[in-house]
Amino acid sequence: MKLGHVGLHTKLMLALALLVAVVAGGSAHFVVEHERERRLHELERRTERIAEVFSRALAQPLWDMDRKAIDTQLAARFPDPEVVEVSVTSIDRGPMSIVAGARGPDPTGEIVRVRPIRYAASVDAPALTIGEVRVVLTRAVAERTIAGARRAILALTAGVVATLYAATFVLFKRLVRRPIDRLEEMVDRIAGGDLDARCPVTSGDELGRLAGRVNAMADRLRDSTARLRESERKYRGIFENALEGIFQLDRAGRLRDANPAMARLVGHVTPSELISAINGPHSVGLFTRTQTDALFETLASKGEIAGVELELTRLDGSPIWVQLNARGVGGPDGETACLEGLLTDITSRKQAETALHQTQTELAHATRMTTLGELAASIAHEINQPLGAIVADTTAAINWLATDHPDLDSVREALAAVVKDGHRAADVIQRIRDFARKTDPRKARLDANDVVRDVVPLVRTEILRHGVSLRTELAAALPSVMGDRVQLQQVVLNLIVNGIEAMSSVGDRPRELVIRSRRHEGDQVLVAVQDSGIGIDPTSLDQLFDAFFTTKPSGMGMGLSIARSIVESHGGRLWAAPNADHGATFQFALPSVP
Amino acid sequence: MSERGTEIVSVVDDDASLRRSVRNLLMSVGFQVQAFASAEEFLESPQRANTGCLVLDLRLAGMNGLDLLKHLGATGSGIPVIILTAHGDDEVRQRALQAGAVALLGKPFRGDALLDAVRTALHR
Repeated sequence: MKLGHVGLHTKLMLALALLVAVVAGGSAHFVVEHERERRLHELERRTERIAEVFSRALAQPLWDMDRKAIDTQLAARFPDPEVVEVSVTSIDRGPMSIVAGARGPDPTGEIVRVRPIRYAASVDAPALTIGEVRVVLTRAVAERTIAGARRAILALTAGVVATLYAATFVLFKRLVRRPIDRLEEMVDRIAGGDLDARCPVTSGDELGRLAGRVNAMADRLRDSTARLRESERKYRGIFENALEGIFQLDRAGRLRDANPAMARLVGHVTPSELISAINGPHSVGLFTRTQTDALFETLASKGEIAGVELELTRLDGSPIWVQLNARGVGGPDGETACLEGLLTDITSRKQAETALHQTQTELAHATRMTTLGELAASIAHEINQPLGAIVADTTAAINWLATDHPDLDSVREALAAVVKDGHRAADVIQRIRDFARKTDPRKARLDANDVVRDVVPLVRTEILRHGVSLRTELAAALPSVMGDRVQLQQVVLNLIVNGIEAMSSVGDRPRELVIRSRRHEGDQVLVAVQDSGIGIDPTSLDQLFDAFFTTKPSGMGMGLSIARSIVESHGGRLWAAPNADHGATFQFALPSVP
Repeated sequence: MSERGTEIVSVVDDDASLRRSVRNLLMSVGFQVQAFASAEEFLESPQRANTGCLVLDLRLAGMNGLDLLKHLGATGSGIPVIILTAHGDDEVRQRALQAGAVALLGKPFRGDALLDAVRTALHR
C-alpha cells in the first residue's frame, strides 16, 4: 500500500503545507473579514455624514425652493462612486430632486440614511422640518475593494507558503534527505557484504552521530566476521585436509557429511560421490545395521566411542580395518541424533600384527625345531619310515624269490617300492641339510651384539619358566662381522637353550646365564654363553658337537652340531669349556671385518 | 615256508609305504594280512574279530597306538600286539609293555625280527 511508503520528506512537506495553509488562510480570512466590517461600518458613517451635511446644506435652498441650487449641491456629491442616489423631498411639494445613477438590483445591499432638513428663519426662530434628504450609498465599492484585498492577501499567503515550502524542501533535502540517503546506501552496502564501507560523518547533529554509530557497528561486524571466517577457514582446512576420515552419520545409517579422506578410505573420489552412494537407493550402507545400532548404543551408554576397531568393505569389495573415535551430537529432543566420528585406516597395522604373529609363531616353531628333541624325533620318524619299508619290501622279495614258483610280479612291485622309499629317505636328508642352512648364508655386515639382542626376547618365556637370571655383558665398540643374521641367531639361541637345559636340574645354587661379547685376538669377535649348570665332562668335550651325541635323556643332539657347522661356514670356531666353579661356557669366534 | 592259519595279521600304520611293505613281507611268508591306516579304521572293521595278531605303529594320526593298546587291554580283546616305533627309549618300552604289548621293535626293524615276533604271537 503506497501510503505506508510515503517518504519522510513528503509527509513533512504535506503536513507543513497543510498547516501553513490552514494558519495563513485562517489569518488571512480573519484579517480580511475584519477589514470588511470596518469598511462597511465606515461606509455607514459616511452615509450618515453625507446625509447630515446635505440636511444642513440643503436647508436654505429648499426654503428658497431653489431647485438649481439643490441640484448643484447634489451633483457635487455625485461623482462619488459609492453614492447611488440622493433625493430631497419637501414636505409640501414632495420630491424635489433626485439624483441617481443607473443601477440595477444591488446584490451587495444599499445603505440608506434619511435626514430631515430643518430651516430656521432666524437664529432664534425654531427650526422647522421642511423636508428630508435621503442618501443611498452602495456597498459594492467597498465589497469590491475587500474582494481585491482578499485576493491580494491570498496571493501573498500562497506566495509565502510556496517559498516556505521550497525553502523547506531544499533545506530538508540538504540537511536530512541527502545524509539519510547516504546512510541508507552505506548500510545497504554493509549489509550486502562490503564490510569496509563507511558512512561519511559530515555533521555533529543527530544524523552525524547516527552515521558514527553505524560506522562503529560496521567495524564490530567486520571484526567478528573476520574472526568467524578465520575460524571457519582453520577448521575447514583441518576437515578438508585431514588424513583421517571425518564424517557424520545419523541413526538411520545415512551420511550427513564426510571429508575427502573419508571418501578415499571407502574408495570414492569425492565426498559428494560417497554421500550419494551411501544414501542412495541401492546402497549397502557404510556400516551394517548391526554395527550402526551397536555404535549408537555405545554412545548412549558411554557417551563416546574410543578406539573401536571395525572391519568395513570398500567400494571394490576389499575389506579394510579401521579404528573409530566418535562422539554423539544431540538432536532437538535431547536424544543423540547423529554420530560424529574420526576413522583411521589401520589395515596395514592389522596386517603387520597378523604377519608379526605369524612370524612369531613360525620362529617359535623353528626355535623348538632346532633345539628340542622334537627335531630329533621327527627326523628319526621321517627316515625310519622309508628305511623300515625298504627292509620289509626287500625281505618280502627275498622270501618270494625263495619259493618254488616265485610271484615275480609282486617281487617287481616290491623292489620298485624300495627304490621310491630310498629316494624318500634321501629327500629327508636333503631337507635336514637345507634346514640347517636354510638357504645359502646370506652374508651381510652385522653387529654381533644386535644378534644377541634379537634373540633375548625370544627366550624370555623360557628363562622365566626355568627361573633363570639372564645377564648380558656386551662390548660397546664391537667390530662388525659378515654373516647370515638368521643363522647366527639360531646359533646363539641354541647355546642359550642348551645353557638353560643344563641348569634345569640345578636347585642348590642360582641359575645364572651370562652372555658376553668382546674382541678376540685382534681380528675376531667372540660371543660366549656361560651357564651355572651341571657342567661338561672334560672327556666328552670334543664329542659334544658331534651329530647324534647327547648326554640328555631325551633328544638327538642335533643342535650343537648344526650350530658348529653354521659357525664354521662363517669362517669361525665354536668350542666349549667347563667353568671354574659350576657349569660350562660355550663360545664362538667369528672373523671381524674392518 | 608257508604258514596257513585262519587268523589274520592286522597292520595299523598311517604311513602308506610302510603299511604296504610290512603287508608284503608278511604275505611273502604266507600270512594273511589286513592293513589299516588308522586305529579307528581297525576298530570299526569287521575283520577285527579274526585278528590273530596286531602289528601297530605307535605314532598314528587320530588315536595313537598307545591309546589303542590300552583300549584293547581294557576291553579284554586278548589280541597280541606287536609295537613298531621310532622311539627307542626305555620309557616308551616300559609303557608299551605295561599296556599289554607282547613285543616292541624299533624302527627300522629287522625283517626276521618282525616275522619271529608275529609267529610267536600267533602261536601263543
